[in-house]
Order: sequence, then structure tokens, then C-alpha cells
Amino acid sequence: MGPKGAVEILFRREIEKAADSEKETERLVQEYVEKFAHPYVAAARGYVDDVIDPRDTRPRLIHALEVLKTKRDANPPRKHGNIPL
Amino acid sequence: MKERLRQLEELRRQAQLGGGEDRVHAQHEKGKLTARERLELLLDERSFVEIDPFVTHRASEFGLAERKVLGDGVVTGWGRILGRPVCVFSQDFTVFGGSLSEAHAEKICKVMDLAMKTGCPIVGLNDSGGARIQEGVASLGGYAQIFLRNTLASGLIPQISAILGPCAGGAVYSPAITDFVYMVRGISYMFVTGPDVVRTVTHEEVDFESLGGAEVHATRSGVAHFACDSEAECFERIRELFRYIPQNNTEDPPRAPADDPPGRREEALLDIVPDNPNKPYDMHEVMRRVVDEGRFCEVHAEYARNILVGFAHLGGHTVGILANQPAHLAGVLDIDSSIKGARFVRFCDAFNIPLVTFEDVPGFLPGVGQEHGGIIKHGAKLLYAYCEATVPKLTVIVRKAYGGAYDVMS
Repeated sequence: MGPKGAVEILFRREIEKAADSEKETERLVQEYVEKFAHPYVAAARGYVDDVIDPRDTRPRLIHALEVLKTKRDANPPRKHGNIPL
Repeated sequence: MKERLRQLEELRRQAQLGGGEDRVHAQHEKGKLTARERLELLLDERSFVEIDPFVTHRASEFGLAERKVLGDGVVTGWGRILGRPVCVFSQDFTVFGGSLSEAHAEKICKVMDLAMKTGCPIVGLNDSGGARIQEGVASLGGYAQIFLRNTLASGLIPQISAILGPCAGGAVYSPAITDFVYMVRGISYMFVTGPDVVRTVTHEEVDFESLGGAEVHATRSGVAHFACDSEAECFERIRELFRYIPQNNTEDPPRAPADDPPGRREEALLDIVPDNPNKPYDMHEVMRRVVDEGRFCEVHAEYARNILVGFAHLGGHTVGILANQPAHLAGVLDIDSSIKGARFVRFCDAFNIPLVTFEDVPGFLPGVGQEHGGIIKHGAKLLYAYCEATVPKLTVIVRKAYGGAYDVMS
């Protein structure tokens, strides 16, 4: 859900009560965008490893691939899982 | 000794003829190649080695005892693609309409067993009228043996099917289990029940092409991963796939020469993606600028176009790429795109191909149709596939990742 959808749920009552509900929505959306619609909330929690310059996408991906070349990971042993079919 | 060699040569010559000149002519008239011509186009030059050319059926009913053809309607063996060994079978429509007898099935099973034991991919070229009805349950038993091997080989060796003629009834389930299905427009048909039965049972009027042609399966059902305009193009594209896939689940995928500089920065990436999160753009443009030489081998290109999946090289490493496509349905996730993505992720994970995800997703597609169609369980497939995957996983959040779709996409 984007900022507008989020604001309309979070502040439904405030928006209804406001004299100019459209303007109020716009103000709240702006506030939400500034607070949440950027990568730094996720970056602060380490959900994303880094925020990069788009121009560096290729070199950064190749570098990460090379680091992960030796990745060793295995799921718990079992007969097989039960993917929801 | 000379006499015996002469006899061997004579038998070989007979085996090469398949169903005879008239039937070969008829095959060409339909715009189709013969089983052997196909193998020549598919495999590296002069690499094909045939096995079992002298196998014949053992049926005696319905006058079959007098009608035996060496090879019994399928050419099997091994060869090379891009220099790498591969097992093959190619059904011969000129012999009993390529129908599957007990002996025919045994030949296919034998070469599948060989592929599994030697750890090399198998490519099946399908062109068959179906079961050899004269053999009854022996023919059905033959199919069952093939399906079992398809299932046991799944995730061990790559399995590739080309449909180059009719493929109907139970026969469809062998290609359906394989990893990649190629079809050719105008000559390939796949359906469980044909137009006549459909008309009788549901009173729907439908022809071969619109019931189970290449276009339908590549765009609507998703049964076909690649739809080609000619057989030649089909074989070229199968060979292209071998640039990316490994021999088996214990080997790494092939490396490509890293001629494209790994450190290459792309100024254009600053402008392709609009700032406005709701404005569409073509995700292909982003991917092409990132991967080696802009080369992207797209799988399921015409099916569920709101998600892109396919293979590329990055710094010479093979990667499987998934990306939301804002140019189609705003890049939402829905039932078809979830299934498409999940299947691709599982192929890559089974064959040690790292996953690179370009994410720009507004969420799941709302609607009664989606909910009643089971988007909950289908969306869960994509989530499950990503979670289960142990290969390296890299995610680029290109612009936005909203809602549950944020979680499901990596």
C-alpha cells in the first residue's frame, strides 16, 4: 500500500472532520512520505544492506555474487516439504 | 565377415528410412521436419550417437506382426549441445504416427535412465499421435514408466521438451513435468481432450489452434515457456538455454566470458525509472543495462507479463532474474504471476543458479476473481519458493515494495 492508502486508513476520522478533507489528506500524505516513503527506515533496521546509486547497480550486484559464491546453506532434512499447490 | 557387415549396413539403412519415403514426404508437406533432421539441427554437428536403432515392437494383434519398423517410431541416443553431452529422444511421426508402443516407451525410458545416471540433461522432441491403441494397456503402462522417470529426474537433471506435432491425452503429462516446454506456432498442439470430445461434452466449438496451439499455451495457460515461429528457431532457442543451465544438480551453471566490464556504471539508470511511484516504465530497460551485454533469455515472455523471469549473466556468472513489470498491470502480483515466479525460483534453486530480484511492486491485485481463484495459496507458492531457496539471493528494490508483496518477493 502506498502513502495515500496508508493515510486514508490511519487518519480516516481526522480527514472526515477536516474542513477541507482533500487538503488535509494531501498534508498527511506529505508527512507520511517524509517519515516513511524512503529506504532509510528499512536501512536503519538492516532490512536492506545498503542504499545505492542506481548507476552502480551492476558493479554492486557482481561484487555481491562473488562474495556469495561460497554460500553454504541447507534446509532441515525431511522427505519433502508441502508447497501449497 | 564382409557379408555380415553388408547386412549390418543394410539394416542401418532401413532404420534410417523410418516410415519410408512417402511418409517422409507427407511430413515435409505439413511443414514439419523428420525426427532425424530435427536432431541434426538441435545437436552440435555430427555429434549424435544413436542407440537402439534395431528395436521393434512385439505386438501381434491387428496385423501388427507383419508391420514392424526398425526403431519403432522413436530415435534415441546422445549428442552434444555447445560441446556438452546431452541425452535425446525424437519421436518419428512417419512410423505409426509416432504412436507410443511398449517398445517405443522402453527406448525412451532407457535413454532417460542413462541421462539420470550420467547426470546430463535430456531433451525430448515430441511428435506423436498418442498411445498405440493396438497395444492397449501395454502402451499405457509405457506412459506410466516415462512419467515416473520424469518425476524422479525432476531437480536432478534439466528436462526440456519440444512439442513439434500433436501431443494429446495422457501424453501431455510427460512434457508437463519437464522444466521447459517449447512449442512451434502452426504445428504444435497440446490438450488433454481434443476439439471433438470438447464439442460432445460441453458443446463448445473450438479448433486445434485455439484449444491447444503454441499461442494459447504461451499466453494463457502458461503450459509452454517458449513459442517459436519455426522448428529451426525452436532448436536455436533450446541451444541458447544451454548457455545458462548446468548439467545436473551437483554442478555449477556454465560461466560466460566476462567481456562486459564488471565495473561498468550506467548513467541511463538515473532516468529510466520515473520518480512518481505510479508511473509505468519497461523493466526490460533496467535489466538490459545491468546484465552482461544486455542479453536476457526470457522465459514465459508472453504469459503473466506483470512479472519477468529469465536467465542472464552478470560478470560471467549465470543468474536467474525475476522482476516486477510496471509496464503491465502496474507490476502487481496476481495468481498467474505468482505461479510463474514460483516455478522459476524452484528451477534456479534446484540447479544452483543464484537469484537476482528487481522489485517494484504495488501489491497484490485486488478482486473477487483473484480471491476466489485462490490468490492466497498461489501467492504462498512464490513466498514458499523464495523461502525454501538456498542459492544466493540478491534483491534490488528499484522503486517501491508495498504490502504483503514486499515479503513475498524475496
